[in-house]
This record gives sequence, structure tokens and C-alpha cells, in this order.
Amino acid sequence: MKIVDGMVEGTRGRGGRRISWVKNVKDSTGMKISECCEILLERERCICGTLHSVDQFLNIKLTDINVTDPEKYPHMLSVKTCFIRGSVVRYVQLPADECDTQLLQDATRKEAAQNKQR
Amino acid sequence: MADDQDQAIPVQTVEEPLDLVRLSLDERIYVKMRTDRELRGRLHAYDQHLNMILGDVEETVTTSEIDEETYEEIFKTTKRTIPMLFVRGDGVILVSPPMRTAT
Repeated sequence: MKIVDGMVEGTRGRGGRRISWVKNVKDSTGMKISECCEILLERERCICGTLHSVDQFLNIKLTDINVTDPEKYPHMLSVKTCFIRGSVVRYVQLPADECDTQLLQDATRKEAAQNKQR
Repeated sequence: MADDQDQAIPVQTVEEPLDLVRLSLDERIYVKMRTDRELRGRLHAYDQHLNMILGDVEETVTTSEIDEETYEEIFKTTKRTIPMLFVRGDGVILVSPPMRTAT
């Protein structure tokens, strides 16, 4: 009976305006959506360093690291070396002048051919 | 198999999807990534996970914001260029061969 003549707490009344998801986010965080997005983007960070080693999972060890934008991440200033789990990596920016692109392409073709033979 | 395995460039045949990617080596390709990112760049290397190395990359990041009054979505794009980039394959949605249309 309650369903017919009343309303469940926290939902809109019958005939009431729909509550948007955006509003829910705003109510629970007390922030604008754009601010939430900024925080999301701020979670990304760039770490510059000398590549010490890489393993089969593309886990990366860096030495002499610098965080771009140290004002944002002061806790990273004291860190000199780090280990990055491969699965959280999106990109690795490489020094372009040290990449032998011809070698890369040949190696890729060779590997593709080898994979096919298996 | 008369083909020598050490042959520099194997015979070009298309038997599986990745062969199409192989044909795009040293060409500019379009890569759609998760989290609303797009890459355009020259393909230098890839592997079976679609990890890739791209050169002269232009990355386009699209962010959407919802207008508070009209509830319309507003899209913003930011672009940046990167001379040489390794892309981890798990973020890749699609790889498209060289584009003939100017973008």
C-alpha cells in the first residue's frame, strides 16, 4: 500500500521531476561536476626518469625521477627512484632521436612472421 | 616453407586481423583509446597485445561537461603532440589504417 500512496525516502515523488545523476554526484560530493573531472584528471601524473629496467609485465623501474608539476605532488619530491606497476601505465614517452624506427619496423615484421608460424 | 626465416621483409599476406596492422607499419594511423582519447601517429612497432610505438603523435583528449541549466553535454578537446610514444595495448579500442581523408 505504501508504494501506491506514498513515496520511498530519497526518491522523487510521483510526477516529480527526475533527479539527474549529475545532481546526485553534486549532492554527495558538494562539488561541481567539472571540479570532479579535474580531480579525476589530476590523478594522472607524469614521471620523468632514467629507465633502469623493464620486466615481462612492463613493470618499470626508474631512477633519478622528477615529477612534472612538483607543486601538486610535494610528497614525490623526496623520492629518487620508483617502481611502476606495468598495468597502470598508459604511455611511455621516449626520446625520439634515440629510436631507430627502421629497426623497430623490421623487428615487428619479423616477430609477426614468427608468431604466424606457431 | 621455402621462405628463409631471416628474410628481412616476409611475404605480405593478409590472413589474420593483425596482418592489417602490419600493413600499416610506417604509415600514419588512427588509434582510439579508452577514456576518450584519440591518437594519430606513424606506426613504428606493435605486438600481439597491441602495445605500440608511434612517432609524431597527436593526442586528442575529449572531456565532456554537463551544462547545469540545459543539461546539454559540452565537449572540450585538448590536443598535444609527442615525438615518440609507447602506448600500452590494454587501453586501445581500435586501430584504423592510414586515413585518406584529411583530418
